[in-house]
This record gives sequence, C-alpha cells and structure tokens, in this order.
Amino acid sequence: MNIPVQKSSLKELSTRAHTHAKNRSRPSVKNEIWRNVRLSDLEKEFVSSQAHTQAQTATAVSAPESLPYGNDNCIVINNGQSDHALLNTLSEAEAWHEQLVENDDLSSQWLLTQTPQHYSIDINSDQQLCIYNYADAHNGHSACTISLRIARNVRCDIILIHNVHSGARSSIAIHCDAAADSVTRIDECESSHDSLQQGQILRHASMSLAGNAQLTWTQCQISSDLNRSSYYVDLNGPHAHVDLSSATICNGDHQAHQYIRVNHAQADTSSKQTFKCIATDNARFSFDGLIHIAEGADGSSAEQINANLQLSDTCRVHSRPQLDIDTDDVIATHGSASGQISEEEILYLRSRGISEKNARTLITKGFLLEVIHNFHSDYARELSSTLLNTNVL
Amino acid sequence: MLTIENLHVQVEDTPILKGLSLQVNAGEVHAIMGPNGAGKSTLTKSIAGHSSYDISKGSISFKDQCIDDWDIEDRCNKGIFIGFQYPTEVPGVNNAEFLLMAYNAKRQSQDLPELSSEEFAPILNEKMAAIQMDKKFSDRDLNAGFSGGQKKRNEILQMCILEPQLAILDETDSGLDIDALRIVAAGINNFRSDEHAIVLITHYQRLLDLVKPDFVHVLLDGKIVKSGGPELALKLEEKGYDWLT
Repeated sequence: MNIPVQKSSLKELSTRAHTHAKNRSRPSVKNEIWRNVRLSDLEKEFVSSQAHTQAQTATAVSAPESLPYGNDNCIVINNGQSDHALLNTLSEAEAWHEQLVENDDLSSQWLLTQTPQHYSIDINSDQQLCIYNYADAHNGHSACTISLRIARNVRCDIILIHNVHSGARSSIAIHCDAAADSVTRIDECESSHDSLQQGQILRHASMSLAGNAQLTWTQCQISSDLNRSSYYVDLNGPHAHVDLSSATICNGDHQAHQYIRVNHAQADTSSKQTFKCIATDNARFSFDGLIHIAEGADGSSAEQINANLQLSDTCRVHSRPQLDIDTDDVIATHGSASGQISEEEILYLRSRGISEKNARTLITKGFLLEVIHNFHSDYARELSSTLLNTNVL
Repeated sequence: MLTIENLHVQVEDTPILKGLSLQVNAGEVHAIMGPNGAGKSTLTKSIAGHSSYDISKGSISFKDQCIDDWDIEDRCNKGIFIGFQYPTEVPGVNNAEFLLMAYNAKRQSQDLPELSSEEFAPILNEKMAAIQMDKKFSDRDLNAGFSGGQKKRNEILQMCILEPQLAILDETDSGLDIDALRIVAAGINNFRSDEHAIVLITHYQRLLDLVKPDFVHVLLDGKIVKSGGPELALKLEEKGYDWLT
C-alpha cells in the first residue's frame, strides 16, 4: 500500500524539528542509529549473527507458562524459527520489506529482515488461537511472518503473547486477510513469565478487510526496551471497521514508536484509533498516524486520538496525527494531547484524604485503563493489569 | 470546631480575603452569602489547603489546632470535608475504587484496618441509596461525563462516606433541579447533628428553605460585613447586597 505524502513538506518538518531540538541543546532524534539502518545492512547483520550462532541450538521452549485456549490452539514461535537448517534456505522463505524514508525521523518506516519462518493459517470456522512469540538473546535477531486468512462469517479471537528476553530482538509480521462479515479480535500483550524486562519487539501488521468485516487489535506494551509497530489497514468493503488501540509505558532509555496508516478505500467504512503512552526518564515515544479517505469513500467515519502523559522533563514525545481526505461526505476527527498529570486532579484526590503519591499512581494507571479494558480476553486484561501495577511509576 | 481569625489571603499577590473572621461550633449550620467575586470560593480553597492561596495574615484553626501547615490530605483525614463548586473530573479513575481508597485512607489515619472492595460494597450501596443515587455511577469514572447535578450529588455521597466533623459545601445547590435539590438537602440534613458542623456557601434562598441555617453571614469584598439569623437571608433575597455597602 502506498499512500502519497509530500516529501518536501516532510523534509521541512524534519528540518524544523531538528533545529528546534538543537536550539534546546538536546540530541536530535537523528542520533537514534536504529532508525537509520538500511535494509541491506540489516540483512547482512541478521545473516552474519545467525552464522555465528549455528553451533548453538535454539533454546527449547514448549509453552512454559499456562497459555489461554490450550496447547491445541497455540502456535509457539521459538526464536523465529524451529530449525537452523532453514538458515540456508532464505531464498525459499517468503520475504517482506518496507522502504526506509531516508533521513526523515518523523515518518521513518523501519526495515525488517527477510524471514526464515512463515506460518500460513486459514481460519474457516470460529476459532480461538494463541500465538506465543519467544525469543532469547542466544539467537540474536529472530523473525517470522504469519499470514492469517479469516473466512467469511467467521469469528476469530487471537491472543499474541511476546516473551522476548532482554538482549534479544524479535521481528514479527502479521498479514491478516479478513473476508466479508468476519469478526477478528486480536489481543497483544507481553509475558511476565521469565523476566519483567522485554527485549526489542518489532511488529508489522498489514490488514485487509472486506465488506462488513470487523477487526479489533488491542496492544499493551510495558517493559520492552524498543518497541516498533507499524499498522497498514485497507478497508476494502462497505461497513468494514477497524479498531486499533495501544497502551504503552516507556521508561528508562526505552523507545516506542507507532506508525499507522488506515486507508478507507470504500464507502461507509469506519475506523477508530486510540493510542496512549506514559513516558518518563529519558524515554522516547513517537506516534505517526495517517487516516486516508479515498475519493468515493463517502459516508466513512474515522476517529483518531493520541494521548501522552509525560512524567519527566527529559522524556520526548513526537505526535503526528494526519488526515488525508479526498471526498466530502465523511466524519473524521483526530486529536493529540501531551502533557503532565493535571494538578487539579491531584488536588481533588488529596482533598479526599488520598496521599499525593497514591493520587499520582491512581491517575497514571487510570490513564491507560481505557485501553486495557478494550481487551476481549480476561487473560490479556489480567496479565496487562498486573504488569501495569508493577511498572507504573 | 472552626475558628478563623483575621484571615488575609492573596492569590499571586492579589489580596482576596482582607481580614475575615468566623467561628463555627459543633452542631451549627452557617450560611455564607455574597456577590460574585466576594471571596467565597477563596475561603473554601484556603480551608482546603490549596497551594495557590497564600495566607499572608491571620489563621485557621480546627478543633483548636492551627491547620495552616497541614497537608491537604491530612485536613480531610482529620475531619474537614470540602464540597467543591466545580468538582474535578478524573477520567480513568473508577468512582467506587476512588471512594474505597478515600475511605481506607481515613481508616488508616485512625489506625483502623483497611476494608476490601467486597467489605466496602454494602457501605457504598447504603449511602448511595440514602441519596437516591443510581448504582451505575459507582462503575463510572470519577465525575467524568457527569452532569452538574450528578457531580454535586457525588460530592454529597463522598461526604456521607467520609463522615467528616466539618463540612464546607461551596454552592452545592447550583445546577440542581427541584427534585435533586430536595435529595441533596435531605443528605445534608441527615448529616446534621450535635457533633457535626456545616458551612453552606450559596447565592440563593431555596437551599436555605430546605436546610435551615442557624447563622447567616454576608461576605463582601473579602470580609464578613454582617451576620444574623435566617431572616438575614430573606432580607438579602428581597433587597440584594447594595444596602450593605
């Protein structure tokens, strides 16, 4: 999917942002090396790192924790591959790439490597599925793709759980093709089984929804040191609806970046985006969300909100909500709000006897609960609530 | 119960209260009336301990203890309740969870064990029923999306749950329809006792028809310029405030 964006305006925006940062004696986001890595370099790095670890076997993992929906409905991704022999057959694997927009930090799309492991899943009847993504530091950068084809009139509930150890990097690409009248709910969360600190998780999700297909994707990312998500959604049939929401806590030197493109290709389609982040310490968070309503997509409605709570003076948040509307008869709203906890809210809670510390915790947790409550599964909701309670500042 | 002596309060170097004195004893209901900008809400927030309000002179004492250095939460836990004119909305914070936390904060200050949500539920349900507040409001976020009247009723609910000794209610009657006013007034009258003191800040007689004050004070330009019994409120209703200047 290619949504045209004026490169000249992006360049100007980028230059202004860098000048702004420089005038405040703050390091420019250009210094984030990861955002400027080229595809070919990344591929070389991946292949090279795998070659060095050929002597090691992948850490055995067989659903070590109690997972929802039972073992029969669970796919365990073990370091992105299950067999080191696959390393020599990259050309046979299904590959996917995203082009990096050079030197434009505010709209960069990052690169994901070729994938040695591919899962293709056809869901032809109502089903619940758990996808357990495990990666540990012994195996460097692991990657996999999952293609989901959801048949007409089918209801599918998916829980995607990441257990990516500190020091490991996991790239996961999910392609979802939802047929007409299907209902898909995806809950994405982080495991706390082995460690409270997750490694780097890169996810790319592309979704194509036919007429009257409904897709809800709710994500909670709390403890990983680098989180990057890109969502590409094509609403290709009337009354198709997508609901994307994410709750992020970013602390220490962690980074989290969200990149969303929703394309209303047909009339009477609808979308909703709710992206919330709590940033503190020296964390960096970015939100780059574009809603495109194509010519002829009359009667469509789109709603986008990005709200960010900044709990330190040194954290950085970039928010870039965008609307690109090529027709008249639509309802499209977008909004972005970034700031600190309201002093009036704290005062009100304190006036009822609640200490300042507890008041801040209550408000901070409440900020993300709107998204947590969006999970369809009790499992994801309880797991994320537990991590939230542990990590909220 | 409450003693205010020669209180001077300024906000960002602008004097608002200019020598206010007031004595409220247990068992009494005092009404404070006055035109807009007289300093009524400043008085309320000064008693609450709002940091923007700077006491430049005078003092506020509660049960013979000066409260000037008390933290905001300590004032509540020691028995002072403020019903705000514009209750703050706190999205994301569940109303029932907030009430439980406030209730337990008070119990903790009294060295009593905290209650669980299951133990607190019947207390909450009883108090809500007493002021005819729909149970669904316990599941809502604190004041978020509430109408003005619903927010005021939620303030009274908090007062009933926290059971303070002194309640200062700032324009509790504003935004209430006739039926809601009767219910709120009933809640205030239920709270009224020989151990409790109430200060009602209001513009209108209609609340005072339902909650009979023992004393009425007129606050004008940062000071109490006249005090009297309930008949003073009737005179203000008839003549306004001009005759006092």
